[in-house]
Amino acid sequence: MKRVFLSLFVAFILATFLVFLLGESPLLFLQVLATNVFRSQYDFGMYLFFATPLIFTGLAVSLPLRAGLFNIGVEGQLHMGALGCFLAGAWYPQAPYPLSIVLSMIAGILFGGMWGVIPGALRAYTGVHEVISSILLNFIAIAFTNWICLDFFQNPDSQNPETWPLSPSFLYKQYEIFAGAPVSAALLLGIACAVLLSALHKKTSWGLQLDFVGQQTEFARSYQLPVNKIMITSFFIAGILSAGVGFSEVLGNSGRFQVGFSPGYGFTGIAVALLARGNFLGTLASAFFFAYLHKTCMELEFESEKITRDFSLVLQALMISCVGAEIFFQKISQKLGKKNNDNS
Amino acid sequence: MTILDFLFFSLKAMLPLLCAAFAGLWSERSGVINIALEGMMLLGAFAAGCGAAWFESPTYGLLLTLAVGIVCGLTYGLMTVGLKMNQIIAGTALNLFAMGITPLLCNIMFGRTGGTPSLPIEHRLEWSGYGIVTLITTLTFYLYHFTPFGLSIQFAGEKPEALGSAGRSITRNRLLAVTLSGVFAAFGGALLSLFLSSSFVRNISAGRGFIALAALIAGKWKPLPTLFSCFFFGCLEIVPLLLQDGKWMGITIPSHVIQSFPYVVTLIIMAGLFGKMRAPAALGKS
Repeated sequence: MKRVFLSLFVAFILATFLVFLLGESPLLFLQVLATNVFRSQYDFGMYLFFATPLIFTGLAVSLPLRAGLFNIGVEGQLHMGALGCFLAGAWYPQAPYPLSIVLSMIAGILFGGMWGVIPGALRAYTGVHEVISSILLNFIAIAFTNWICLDFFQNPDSQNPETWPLSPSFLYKQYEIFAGAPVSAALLLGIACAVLLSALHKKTSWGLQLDFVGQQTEFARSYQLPVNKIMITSFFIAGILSAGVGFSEVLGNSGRFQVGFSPGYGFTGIAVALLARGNFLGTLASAFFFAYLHKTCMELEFESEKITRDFSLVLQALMISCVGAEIFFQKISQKLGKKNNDNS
Repeated sequence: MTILDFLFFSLKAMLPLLCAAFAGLWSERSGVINIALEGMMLLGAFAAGCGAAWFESPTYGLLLTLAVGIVCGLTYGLMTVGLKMNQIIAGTALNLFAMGITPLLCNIMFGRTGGTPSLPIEHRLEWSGYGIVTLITTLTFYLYHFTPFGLSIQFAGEKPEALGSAGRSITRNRLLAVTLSGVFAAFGGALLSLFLSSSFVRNISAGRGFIALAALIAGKWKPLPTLFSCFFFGCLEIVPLLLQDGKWMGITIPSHVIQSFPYVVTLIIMAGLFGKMRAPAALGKS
């Protein structure tokens, strides 16, 4: 754990240096980094609003990661989940308050889960590497959701590429303390999911099987573990988790499906999960960490002429690389430690 | 559109894919999974667009692409072979980096994140585009089949221990192969921005790096079959253009569905073919 912080520190040094190379003041970067979230209740609320989808996407990547699979298709899965949430509201607009939310959530879960299963099933039954299939499915999902949104449900009163708004019974109540930032129950749901997954993983045999499949896939098969089923279910649950982003966005924020609502939550989720290295509670913390970075970059875009919000992607790359390289340094220090023991 | 037109456009579309697929070939044959082809293409496209815009000549664009390709390949090689990072993590990191830094640099240098300035035809590649691809293709075929270097790379991917006992360095061969991979992928990107269009635009590669990987897998990681599968995927890209007004046999197909056509077909092909594919034995093991 200490080493993770060390590698993050190294990543920050590199990031600050990069800011300097790009011609921007590192002091400005550090200042915005330190203060942006705490400037107002609205800022803090926006921070939480960014964190919520990242919790879901981080978990969606973490779960298959434990089974040794890379789920890079979260972006597509969350689009399908969000579309599902909207469609429930579109099909049954007269639904009364609690039922409407439940319906929306179920629809979102089904859509997301169904889309998530595809890479898992392909990997289990045809051996197609889930990285390639899920990346292709991302493109397909985005094209599909755009088609449904724009060709069937386009809001006639708006210039933006978005659907018409759902009736208010389909929205979560927003917490007023955040002065207008769309923080909703989705955040609590996300935290609950992380805690639940962590508990399930540690206390049940399913968790053990998951780890076994991840560490020793071939041995797992010879031990008669249902490897295929575990692969498929982990991707299915990952798809369900991705739908949580739909909850946060459609039910908790805009009340409609907007084209391009996701600033790459799915991809950031990969960084979130890799930083936490498959630990579910760690994923929760990691989500808040990356949300902080993302909020910083959004703020930097306003305050700096040179840096745009794309810097967030660069930061993510630096974080992943440093944490990934850390394993190398760990091996080196292990070897050095052994050498010292041999010599004495 | 006549058949000849279709074939000609498919050929043009195939060229960036081919460069990226051969890039993947060199990397994966040496045992290093390379999902960073997309990022390398993006960086190469950006370098080409920048160089051509500043110096008002495509040659400088290509020189810059070469430099960026070498740096890219070396970095990826150092991460995967030197630091022995998990190759998918390293690839994802490179992709994210490329996706973030290109609009950022674009903004700093040209004042907008949409893309580099549009280039007139004198500053772009015309016949030299075909020349580059011919060079890359001949180089790949020649080095792969007829030189000891190519053989070493194949061993590095299939049985690295054999290289060790023959006194050759696994690390050095892999590093060389991955650097070559970076260069080829960067040139593939340069073709995108200077040959197929008139500037670099944000996300110009649009997943072609991954389609190239799929083409490589469909081509069984060998140069000649990869050539044919790239042509096939090039055709897939052009098929949407066949549908004028979005109508096919009288049925209107929505534009989004048409756009996703290459990806859907790629997926189906991957699922259908896959049982019969055999990756290099030491792929992904450091």
